[in-house]
Parts: sequence; C-alpha cells; structure tokens
Amino acid sequence: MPETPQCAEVRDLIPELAAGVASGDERARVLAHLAGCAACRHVLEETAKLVDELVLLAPEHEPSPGFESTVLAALQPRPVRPRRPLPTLVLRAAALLLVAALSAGLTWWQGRDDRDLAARYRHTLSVAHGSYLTAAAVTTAAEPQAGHLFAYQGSPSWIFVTLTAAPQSGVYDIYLVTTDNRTVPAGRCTVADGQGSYGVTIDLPIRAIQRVELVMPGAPILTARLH
Amino acid sequence: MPGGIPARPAHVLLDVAPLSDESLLAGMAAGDAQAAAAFVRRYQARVYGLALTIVGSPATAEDVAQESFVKAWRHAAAYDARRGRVATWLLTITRNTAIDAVRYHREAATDPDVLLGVLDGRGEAPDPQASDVDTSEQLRSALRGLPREQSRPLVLMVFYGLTAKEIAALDGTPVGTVKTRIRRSLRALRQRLGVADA
Repeated sequence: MPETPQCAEVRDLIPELAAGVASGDERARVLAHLAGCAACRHVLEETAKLVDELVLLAPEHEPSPGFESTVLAALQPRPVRPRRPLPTLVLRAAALLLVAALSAGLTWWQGRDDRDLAARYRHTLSVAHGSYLTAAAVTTAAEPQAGHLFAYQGSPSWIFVTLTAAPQSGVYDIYLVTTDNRTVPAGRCTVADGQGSYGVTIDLPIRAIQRVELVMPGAPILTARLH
Repeated sequence: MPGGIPARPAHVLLDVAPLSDESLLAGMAAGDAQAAAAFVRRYQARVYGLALTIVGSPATAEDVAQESFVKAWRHAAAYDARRGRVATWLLTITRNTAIDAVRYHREAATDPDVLLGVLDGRGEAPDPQASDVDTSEQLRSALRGLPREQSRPLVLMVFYGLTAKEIAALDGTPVGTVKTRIRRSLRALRQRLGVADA
C-alpha cells in the first residue's frame, strides 16, 4: 500500500504513541488511521518493540537488604487473592448507591442549611473512607449530553461511565488523559443503541486526571472533562 | 491428627526457582506467597535498577520499586502473555511509576545525559546476566553510535515520559526538529537491529 499524506502525519506521531506519551486527540487520530493501514501498524509495532528494548537497557542494581521483606509485607495486609479491578456490576451498584445516597440527601435536606448536605456528603464518603466524588458530563462536539462520568477518590479510586446517547455503537477504548497530558488506557466500554456503562478501579489520583476519553475509530471522541 | 495427612513443615519450601515468569505471575494472582516471593527475588534488581536509573535517589527508587511490585501483584490476573513478555510488562509498570514519582511528587530525576551514559554503556560495563544479551548489546552499541542530539530527545521521551513539545521547550529546540531527530534515531536503531522499515 503506497504511503499517503495521512501515513506521513501518523508516522510523525508514532514515536510518542509507542512511548505512551501521546495526547488523547493524537492517539485517536493514529488509531483511526491504523485501523485501515497495515504498513503504519507495522511501524508502530516495531517502534513499540524498540521502546521496550530500550527500557530493558537499564542496568540492574540490588536494592537494600530489607527490600524484599518490605515488598512482601506490602502484599500481606490485603486478602489472599490480589485485588482485581472490580466487576462492572459491583462498581455499577457502588456508583448507583453513592449517587442515590447523595441524591436522596439532596432531596431530603432540600430547604435545610447547606451544612446539612455537606455533612450528609461527608458521611456518605466516610462509609468507605473516600475523599471525594466528582462527576462530569460526557460530550462530543455535536452532543452536549451523551452520558455521565463519576470519579471517586478513595481506596481504591474508581471511575464509572454511563452512556445514554452515544453517537455510534461499538467498542470504545477508554483513556485517562492526565493533567500533564499523558494518556493511560483504562479499559473498554461496549455501546449498543447509544447505551453502555463501564467501571474500573484506577491507580492514578483523580486530581491527576484532566479528562477521560472514549475512542473508537471512525466515531466522534466522547469526552468527560474533570478539570 | 492420627491417620491424617501430615502438614508440610513450615520450613519445607517448594522449589519455585525453575518456574517460568508466567507461572510465578499466575501464582501471585492466585495468592501464592512463595510465588510472590520468588517473583520479587527474580526481578527486584531489574525493577530497582530501572527506578534508580530514572529517579536517581536510592530512597525514592526503593519506593518506586515497591509500588511497582504492588501494582504488578494487583494486576497480575490481568496480564496477557500475548501482549508481551513479563519482564517488559513489569518494567513498563516500573517506568510509568518512576515517571509519576518525578512528575507528581516533584522528585529530581537523574540528569538525562548521565542516564544516557548509563544506558549506552559509557557509564559502566555491560551486564552479562541480562536476557537477550545480543539484542541489548547491539542496541547499546547502536545508541552509543547516535549523535547526542538524536539520542538525548529519545531518552527524554522513553525514560522521562516527555512529549516532543516538552522536549522542545526544555532544550530550546523547535518541535519539528525534535520530532525529526527522534524519528531518525529510531530508524537508525531499527536498522542496526536489522529491522527494516515498512
């Protein structure tokens, strides 16, 4: 397949994509092109392998003698099985409970002093020792309200996205775009008839997430801005 | 308990050393403490070494290495062998954790030129224990052969997580020039490793 102007543009972005530093917009543009260009996919694969090999060049160093026991102790306090990303249904229930509790608090305390609402919010968060819950509309350039994103700062922190009017059906890749413009993959959300939902625990602090993007080649990017 | 199966004495440990990386990771995912210990023992020098290479401070590097193992443990069940080797997966986690430490906690990172010297072998002798020694040594040699103006932005992107725009601002170089230099460096390394462009 001959190289097109789009190939040239994409290959300009491939190093940043392979190194995991491309912005969400750039990543979306590249992915959309890669879906139909085997030559550029090959270049990305080879570049990603090279980046991996470069990382492997770092020399070995032995940590201090107590390191191993410290690490193993850090793995001990948790249950026998390692923590996995919570199943969508569990997260959905948790998110709905939290949102319902906050909504109920809003309704119940309507007309009362704002401090009561704040107290209710704090109590709700204290149930699981969370720090805060925030929410944002999921939008596209043409659709101001395609769904909602909820982000919970706690242990673990999680995001939960629910779509009610996505422009196209299919499987969307979810990316967290950090405040310093790094892009972190966070899973996939299946959308049918404009609707879908997905939740996942995350390691990044919520405050470090600038926006969440749902990307599918050929479809408008769905964006929820947290900052 | 009379007639029962005697419990294995606590000091009798299973020999997990010969197990593959994938088996140890699967053991970790299933909550096997011995597999977790063997996994940490096998990789601690590489994980800590990479963290130290990036952050420069031994104390911060140990924090980064510990956090990387905890993340690997948490996500061990999600590891997909089709998407790369365990070493690559674990060291990518480590690299990202080290970059986060430098960025979010405002830690001072290793000077990029010092790091480059360590990577390309000017800083110390090559490690004979590294896997894929041929590939690593070819790559080290190829990196050493690159002009510093090409290798520096490549290292800033791969090890410090900087975008071309950020590198341009850091070095006072136009973004287009940074991108061109990185592409040239990658092309030269690929050619040296015998991988042809499409």
